Amino acid sequence: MLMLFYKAWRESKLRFLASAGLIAAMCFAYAMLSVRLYPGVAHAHPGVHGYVQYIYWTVFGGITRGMFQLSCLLLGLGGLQRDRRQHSLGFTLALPVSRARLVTSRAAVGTLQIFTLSMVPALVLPLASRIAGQYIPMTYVALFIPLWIAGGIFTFSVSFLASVLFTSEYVSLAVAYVGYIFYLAAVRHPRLSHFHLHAADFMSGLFPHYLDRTTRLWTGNYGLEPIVWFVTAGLGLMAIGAIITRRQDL
Amino acid sequence: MLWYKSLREIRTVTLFGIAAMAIACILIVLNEQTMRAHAEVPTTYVAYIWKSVYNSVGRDLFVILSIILGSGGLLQERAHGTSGFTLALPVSRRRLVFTRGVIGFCGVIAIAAVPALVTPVASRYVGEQYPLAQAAGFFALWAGCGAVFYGLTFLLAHRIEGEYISVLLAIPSLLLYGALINLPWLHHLRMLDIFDVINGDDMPFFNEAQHMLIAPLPWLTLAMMLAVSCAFLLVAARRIESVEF
Repeated sequence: MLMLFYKAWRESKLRFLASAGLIAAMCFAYAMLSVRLYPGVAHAHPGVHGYVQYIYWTVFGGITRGMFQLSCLLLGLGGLQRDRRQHSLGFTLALPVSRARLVTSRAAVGTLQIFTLSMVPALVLPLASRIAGQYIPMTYVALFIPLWIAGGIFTFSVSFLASVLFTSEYVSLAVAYVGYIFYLAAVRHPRLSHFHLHAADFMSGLFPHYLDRTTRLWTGNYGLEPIVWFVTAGLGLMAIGAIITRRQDL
Repeated sequence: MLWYKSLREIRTVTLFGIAAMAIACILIVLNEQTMRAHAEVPTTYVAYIWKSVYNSVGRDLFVILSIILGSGGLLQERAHGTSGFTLALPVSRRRLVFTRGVIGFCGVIAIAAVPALVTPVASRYVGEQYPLAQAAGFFALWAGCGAVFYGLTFLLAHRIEGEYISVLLAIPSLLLYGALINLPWLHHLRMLDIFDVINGDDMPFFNEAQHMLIAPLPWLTLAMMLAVSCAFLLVAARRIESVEF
């Protein structure tokens, strides 16, 4: 099993390291350039009255979160269909393990990578803020970690499922991204909006009112149920991917 | 045959992109009453279309599809083990890259044309009207900005080997460009901010109150964008000429 983990890691290593580097660089740059960028962010978002809100709109509720979501989508790609495209499927299937194990190892490595990526802002921001002469409480950034993990696993599972269904990696990426955009747009529909299904808003702490919408500070209302639901939905999609892979004629 | 080869390579993504964009536009138009009824401020139909198609879902789809279309190429073929067949064709590498580049850009144009064709027709179906001139104007803006998104990713895909790395790097590169162009001392170059030009937001040729294009389009800016995209293609071709496969 360890060798399968290593195989999955080798296949996604470059994507993961590039994603981690980019998210860390963005967090660092936003903290270090806060004096220069603050006026623009405050102009765009009227609720910005201090450094914490500035970090919220640039990292946890802004572009950096979008980058994290894209990273999750890219990390979900690969697998047996890509091996088939690269004519290396025979070698993979010749390994004395079941297809379910192959899929599980890829899903497990991806989940661990998302776990790590989710912690990057919490590790970088307090340190970079101190260097920049600013202060952001560790508790403020740490509470986003479970939300990013749950939302990240769900996002990852969307492209994971697409990678099982489509042979071309670029078609998988297009289908995963377009499917994800359609899902985000659909759950904004008035009939669905009260179910709090929007993964991006959930990761930003807006649903179900983890954060105060005016101050963007934690309200103390930190429900675990939505976190469990998003993780379960993600695992469910990955399980569907595993079932399809087992039955696929490769 | 070379054109056909390139077309086959991008066909699925392009057709999927066209279909996805058409479905998005149709769903946006069909849901206009519900969405406008639940809007925080009263919104006209034209404003609703701008916000939904040209400033939200439609634009996001277009940007990522342009980036995905630009992410293929000979370096990716090397990873698949098929670059040998392509390089064995009796044509220069430069020609291979240019053909792939031009066909990919045609894919970008095709996806950009979808809202311009679908939105006015679908609007008529729900008893509303979306001016064809507006749709045509936004098509030109999308084509110009899409050329930059596509060209940059195309260049990255021909410089860096590795799956999806060009996609992963294209987006932060564009964001960095957007952040730099918003710095105070570059503020007078607002017409080069592709993220605002693409939908007219905060631009002199766009009326923020009516959400309509009012003045002549920034043709010089769009021409510059095409020129930049061509330059990206040229650099990509030069890079591939010296790569040892």
